[in-house]
Amino acid sequence: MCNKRPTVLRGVCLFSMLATASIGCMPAPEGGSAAGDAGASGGAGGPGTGGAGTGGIAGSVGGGLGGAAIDAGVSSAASACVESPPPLRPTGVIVEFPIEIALGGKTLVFGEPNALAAGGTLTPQDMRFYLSQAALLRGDGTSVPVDIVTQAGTPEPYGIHFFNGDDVASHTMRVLAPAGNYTAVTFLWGLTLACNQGDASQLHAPLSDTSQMTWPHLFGGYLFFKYGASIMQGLSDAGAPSAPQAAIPSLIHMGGSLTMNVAPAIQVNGMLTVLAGGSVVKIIRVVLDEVFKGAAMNVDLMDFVVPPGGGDEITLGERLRRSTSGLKIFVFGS
Amino acid sequence: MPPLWPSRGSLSLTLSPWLSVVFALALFALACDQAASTRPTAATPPPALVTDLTPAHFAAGTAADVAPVDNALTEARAQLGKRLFFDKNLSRTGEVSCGTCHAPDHAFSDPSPISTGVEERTGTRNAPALVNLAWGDSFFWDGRVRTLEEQAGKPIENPVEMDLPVTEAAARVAADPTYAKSFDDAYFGPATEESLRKALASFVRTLVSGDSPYDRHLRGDEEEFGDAERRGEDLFLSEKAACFHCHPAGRLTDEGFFNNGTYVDGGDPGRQTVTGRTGDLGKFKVPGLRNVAASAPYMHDGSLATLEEVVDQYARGGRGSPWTDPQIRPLTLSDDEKLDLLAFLRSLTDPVFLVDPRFRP
Repeated sequence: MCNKRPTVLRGVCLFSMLATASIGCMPAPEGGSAAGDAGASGGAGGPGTGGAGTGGIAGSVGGGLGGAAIDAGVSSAASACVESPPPLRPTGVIVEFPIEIALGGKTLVFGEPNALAAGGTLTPQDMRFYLSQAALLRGDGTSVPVDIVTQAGTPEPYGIHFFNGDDVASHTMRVLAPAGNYTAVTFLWGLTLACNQGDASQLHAPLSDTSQMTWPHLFGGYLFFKYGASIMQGLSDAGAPSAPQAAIPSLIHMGGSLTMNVAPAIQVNGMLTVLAGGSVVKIIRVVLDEVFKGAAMNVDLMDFVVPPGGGDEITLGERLRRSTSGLKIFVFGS
Repeated sequence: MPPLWPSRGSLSLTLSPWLSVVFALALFALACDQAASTRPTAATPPPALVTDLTPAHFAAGTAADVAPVDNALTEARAQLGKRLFFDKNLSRTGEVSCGTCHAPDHAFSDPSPISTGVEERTGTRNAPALVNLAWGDSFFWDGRVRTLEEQAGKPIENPVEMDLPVTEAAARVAADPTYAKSFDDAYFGPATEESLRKALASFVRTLVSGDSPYDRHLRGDEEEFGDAERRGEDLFLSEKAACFHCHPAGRLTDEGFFNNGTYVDGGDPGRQTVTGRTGDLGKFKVPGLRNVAASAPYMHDGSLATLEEVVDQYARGGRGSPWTDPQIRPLTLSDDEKLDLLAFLRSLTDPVFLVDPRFRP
């Protein structure tokens, strides 16, 4: 539902800057409905969201993956944003996914200058994102929805994992899985529509107003991915500044929509063997090289309106969101 | 027997003796009654510090709701903490109390850029406002402590502030018989270092400001929130001014740490002293903005004297430190837009809070 001053383009609402009774609406990503490359370990069509299975609005986001079915339980959960969601299953094996941020093949150290291949340094200052609606894929393509859980195995608040570069405790996502063999993990890079419509002033972490992920109005949804870095130019041997790091942005803000499920559906391919009574640890790397590539992708933004005064970071974020299906942003580490 | 009343026709203003006696008795009775009504008695409690007032859009509950389990907020604790807050005997020289640098008139901040402690010693930072800290996640400009109980003892023992070990401060208080009952009522025993800090924290928790025009606006009362304030709010929450990135609507602080370009180099390391991270150089805690108009000067070092200077500095995109947060960038604001922003910032002033006698010694 649009706000009082909607301007509709192609059936989509413009992002409104009203402080009250305003919503932000982003069009569906282009190319998001394509089925993912089976060999890709980055963005791909994943499980649909929003309670409509793989059809309707959700289909424009994920569109299904090679026939992957969606569990009805996940659909209904996605239609609400519950702080203490009921667990999908009472028991299971905790699968840990430590998350590393990588650039140029190297793991970045948060808050410290990291050398860049072309000279200079990049110091990550802010790295936050939401992951939700996790599932494990079997070899036959069936999707097994799993709870994102705490270290104790209970569902995370709102069923969300919130990665915050500043908080080491958040650097591992955990899911509670039934025993079995799996070929991939899938999740949304962001929030479901229901959670994105929440009022941050009334919700608790990680959806509270101290998440640093809120958009500029009380009912405006959240950023799904927030990246900020200090980039220093390098010096040549002669002491002159090296060429500016033009390809590396210092700020990316990727958000969603208040009317549609537009969180990129991610599939990370790799064998996962979950044994009853065992433990599984599988590193997931966020490849910033791919993030920057996506942020610079030449995608159609004709129906996207930057909020008045908005900086490049918003456009970069939208380019990124629309291009995830062709990128390998999330990959399993070695 | 003389007549009770002056005889008719008498122009004299002299009362008859009997009337004089009656008049005198009436005056005496009136005086006694007035004296009785103004003299504090042992049975008259001071006005309550602990209330249900909550700033608008603070969803976590009242100050009492969010108090830690091991220091539940009670009236006895808050009142004790208030007395301690203004007691200069908690400083080595007896010159300085918490209230010396955290002045009620200034939203419990310091109108001096850098606060002055015992023997005129100075630190490096401006004493921040103590407003709505009950809901805070961390304290001090560098966020080095996570609880008000921890925070309360630090200025007491800081050599440039009150310069007295907290154990000694507690011993002084324990030796003061006028404190004995208050500590017993509040913490069921004599003063200790722990109960002293807890009492101070309890008082600070009661410093709740929730009745500014902005708060009322959020609750639907627009009487004191006019067009300029509304335009200012829109700007504040827009990408154009981008204030919301650190000061989200409602709470007005995201409890985070940012380098907003207050200095170029060679300044206070701020958050870096806590984390040790290179990239945290010059980061300081985002303060809440309620009553900001009353808490000048601004920034961790009090380097900006007025709100106008604050707006101008943000409009410039800071002073050019390479560690300035990338969200801080030059803004294109007209003079009228700046005025609207200022109107909004001034709407955050809660006049009741600033003069509330409950918060005075």
